[in-house]
Amino acid sequence: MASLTLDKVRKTFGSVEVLKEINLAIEDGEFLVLVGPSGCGKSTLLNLIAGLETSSDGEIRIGDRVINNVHPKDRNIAMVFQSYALYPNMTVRKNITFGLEIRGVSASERDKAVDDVARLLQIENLLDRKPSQLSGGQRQRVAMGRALVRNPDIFLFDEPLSNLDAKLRVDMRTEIKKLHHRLGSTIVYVTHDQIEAMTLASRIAVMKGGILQQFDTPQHIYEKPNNMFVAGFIGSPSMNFIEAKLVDDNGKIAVTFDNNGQKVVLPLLENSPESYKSWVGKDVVFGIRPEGLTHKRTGSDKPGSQYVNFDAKVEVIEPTGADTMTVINLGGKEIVARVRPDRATNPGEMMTFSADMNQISLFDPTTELRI
Amino acid sequence: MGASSSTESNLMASLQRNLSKIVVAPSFAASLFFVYGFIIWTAWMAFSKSRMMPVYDWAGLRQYERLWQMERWHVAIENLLIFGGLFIVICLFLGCLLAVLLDQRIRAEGVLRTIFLYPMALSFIVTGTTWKWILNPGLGLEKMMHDLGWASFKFDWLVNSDFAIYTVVIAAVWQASGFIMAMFLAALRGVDQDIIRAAYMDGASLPRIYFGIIIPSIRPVFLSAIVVLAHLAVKSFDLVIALTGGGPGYSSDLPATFMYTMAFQRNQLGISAASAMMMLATVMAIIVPYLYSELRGGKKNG
Repeated sequence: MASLTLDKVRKTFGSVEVLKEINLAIEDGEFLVLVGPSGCGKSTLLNLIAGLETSSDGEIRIGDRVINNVHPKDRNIAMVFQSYALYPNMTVRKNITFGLEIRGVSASERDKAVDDVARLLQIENLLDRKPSQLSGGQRQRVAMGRALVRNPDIFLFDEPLSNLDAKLRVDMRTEIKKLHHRLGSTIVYVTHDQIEAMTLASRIAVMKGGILQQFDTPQHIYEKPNNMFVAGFIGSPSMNFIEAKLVDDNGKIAVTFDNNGQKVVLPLLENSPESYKSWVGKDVVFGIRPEGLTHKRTGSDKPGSQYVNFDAKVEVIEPTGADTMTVINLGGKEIVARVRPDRATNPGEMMTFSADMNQISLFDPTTELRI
Repeated sequence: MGASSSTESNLMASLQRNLSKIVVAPSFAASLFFVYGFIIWTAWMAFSKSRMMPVYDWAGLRQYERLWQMERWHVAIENLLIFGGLFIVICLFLGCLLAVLLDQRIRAEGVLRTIFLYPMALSFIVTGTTWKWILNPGLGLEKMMHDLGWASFKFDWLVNSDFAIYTVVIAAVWQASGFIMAMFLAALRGVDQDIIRAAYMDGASLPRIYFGIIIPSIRPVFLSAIVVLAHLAVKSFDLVIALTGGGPGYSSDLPATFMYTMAFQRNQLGISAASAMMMLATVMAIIVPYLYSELRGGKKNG
């Protein structure tokens, strides 16, 4: 177990800069998820930590130990690969003990270690099979067992669930989370799935184009995204963006936008940040998550919320069972609202929506940064 | 009018249906006759009293008895064991080694691959002739060393009856190992790179990764390579003819050159046919189990 620090880490391939000054630090026992679209550099970052690639600049530390030039096998880290990367010619038992064998661990200790890990992962009955005789989920467990048995300082997971079917993926996700609670180990986990990131992480690092966009707890990233990319990437369905304007509405700052010829004016909360004042009279991007935009509600429905109502025509409804996603058209853009099924109406009808002003974000339309 | 056009269209339709069979039929008939027909004819010859000309008198196993009494046949068999064994082992080793080295994502891999693979594109006659010049003591390697001033250098395997067969091994290995390399390289490229990285993180050294994990996991390719090499070894004829001509004396005879000599120079058609049948049996012993396992494997997958 150990903390992990990345200090101004850069990586270039020739003239292409794939990672630009990444600064990250996690404490012992934290679960860090690196998330981003493909090509964002998250896997490269993981490989740098693993030692499969060398960084062009900057420092990587485990605890107080600088590991930039340490051979992967001496870093005391273990990795679980997307394709599981089990050794096809060895039994499950051999797969798990291979690393120990190379490190010169005695046979009796190896047997004990395998038994412990197998019990933990419930793969005792698979130990004498070859990887080709296992299902995807079983292979995944073996791959995790191979990492666990080494008892490393840090576990690295490279999109470990993306080869599993949807149902199994959810089960294994829970299992990984349980395992983390039980072992209290430090984990770095790469995924492109924002739901995995939200559910597993103690802290998330959102990346795009080799740049760290935001590094924070899942809830904070969800509620206060740094920029429009993070806002749109995290959360499903993703955040609605409406082109709007900040105005002074009888002494209160309000956001206003066009609703098919009609002006909607949504006054901001009293305790809004001071910085909003300088934006009065300017264009902004008004971001609101689907659950912040609901059927008509009043403040007493949910304490602490402040609702502002407006009418709009329903274009499409998408029932998901628990909620009905209602698509409306605001300022030429499709906007999704999350509506209770019994309050949903049919497409083409007018409906009154409530915007929860507690759950809004405002962005600068040119820099796309949060105001 | 209507009737004739319908017969015509019927004809066209049946032609369409059977077109593939019609196209394949001549070559099917030809191979049936020239390959399998002559196999049967040869088998018959081996039981006949034929000498210079084929005769069809029944002689039982007489030709086989005579064959196995011949010193020269024993030399040919022994040579086949030496040649086949060394050829297969060295080709596998070199091919595998070259493939592993080429697999290290080196520069100019395409050029090197072509260089190693190119000998396979030559005919054995060309290979044999070239190596005959290189190994000729008065012409090639030995003379070059002498000219360079290394007067005591001696490399006369080609004209030494104890070593002539090894020169055949050298030339054959030169020709075939590149092809084996290509087979192994294709298999290595199919191995998931993450396996190598996982082993690397487990702390395994590169030789250990290859010999402990990668090569065992491409075992089926070894079987294919051995089958290819074994049948090349058993049927190799032109290389020996071009390189040593079976000599000095008959010291580098292989069963194939033995058979040729018996049939066309010694007027021993019956013995020749018997030796051909012995070779057929050898090849069948290798190929049939292989085909059996391949076809059964195919059924299992399908």
